[in-house]
Amino acid sequence: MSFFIGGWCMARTKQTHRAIAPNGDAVTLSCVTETMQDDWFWHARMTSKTLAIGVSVGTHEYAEYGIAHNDYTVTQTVQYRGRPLLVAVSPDRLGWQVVWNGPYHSMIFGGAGSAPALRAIVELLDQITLKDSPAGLEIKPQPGSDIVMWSLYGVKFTDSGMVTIYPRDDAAALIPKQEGLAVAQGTVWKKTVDAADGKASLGKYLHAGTEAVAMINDDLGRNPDVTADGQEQLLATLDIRWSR
Amino acid sequence: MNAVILAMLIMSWVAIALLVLGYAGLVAQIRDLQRRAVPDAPTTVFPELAATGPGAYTVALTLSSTCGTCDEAFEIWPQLASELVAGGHRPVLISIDNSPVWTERGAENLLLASDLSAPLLLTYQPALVRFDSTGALFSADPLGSAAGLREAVHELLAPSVPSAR
Repeated sequence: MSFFIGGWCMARTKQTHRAIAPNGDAVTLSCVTETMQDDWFWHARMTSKTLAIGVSVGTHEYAEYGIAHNDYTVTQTVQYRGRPLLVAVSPDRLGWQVVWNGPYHSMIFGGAGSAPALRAIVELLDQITLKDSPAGLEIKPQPGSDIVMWSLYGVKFTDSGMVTIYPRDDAAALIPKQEGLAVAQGTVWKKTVDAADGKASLGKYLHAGTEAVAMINDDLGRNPDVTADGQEQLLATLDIRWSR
Repeated sequence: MNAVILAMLIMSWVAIALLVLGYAGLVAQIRDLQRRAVPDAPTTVFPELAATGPGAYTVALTLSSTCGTCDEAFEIWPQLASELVAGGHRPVLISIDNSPVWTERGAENLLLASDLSAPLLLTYQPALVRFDSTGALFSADPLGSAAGLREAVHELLAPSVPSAR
């Protein structure tokens, strides 16, 4: 199958993208698809005796969009390790977001209530090592800090749906006990999750390989770009390597 | 009967031992938390940045030539420096990346980081750094805006001076 965009014929080809996850793991995603977004999005939890935050890593554009889309206002800007560190607050001042822009990626975290003091933010960042490269932004707790990073997952967008990737060891509980459909690089199941609004069920495909588990949104009928044929080819060829 | 009493006695001692171990663990955790709560002792001393006397501070605004907020902070610094002098403190400007741009923009008595007797290592810029009458580093705070600088200086000049963190 192929389609035309502005006179260019988009054919399905095998695409392979590599990245370094925030914890330093090397992740490779391969599949046959028409388009796959270059950007990776990552999310993890960071907790210590005194801290519990969700941390996201994405492109600078993603961070800018997050601030603009929510009508947040940047109230403080400081240079941290030579790079911009922003604190933004919501219009009602009941939400806040912190963005550190590395040379290639942004690290974002936030919360509800008043924004913490800039000093507290800096003290938190002083406990982690930030290493940014084109392949990814590594966020590692420094030796001696009691910060632990966990619940890490990555997100990639393909023309056949959003793919959320977990290391297999962390996501073993997601794998159904029933027999699935064997594909080239793993096994596939279809899951249905009832929507919170009760209007429609949300379908997801689950792909379990030897090193990773992926959840693929079933957007057939919701997103006009998604086709049954495209979904099938994505699931049949999906190959995720997650080296720890 | 004696055997039962003996068993109960042993169990009592085991329970006491467990309680002691648990208590020791709790004490260790409390000490750990207390140690973390106590601020690091100021060890770095910069004699050239000693304040004019006990109770007074040298208040340094550290600037980098590549940060936007440093420009904003620099603009309002002369007024705040006057207020600090009136309050008995010694205001100082430090170019952390040794750029002379601040002198070119009219700064007086600019110190370059390379002129200091010890490295002033801060991960953030701009910052408001206090030194005591011996030149010991007393506190350092990041400044996210010109308003934040004004607030920090006025807090310092307020009757009850906050302690070092």
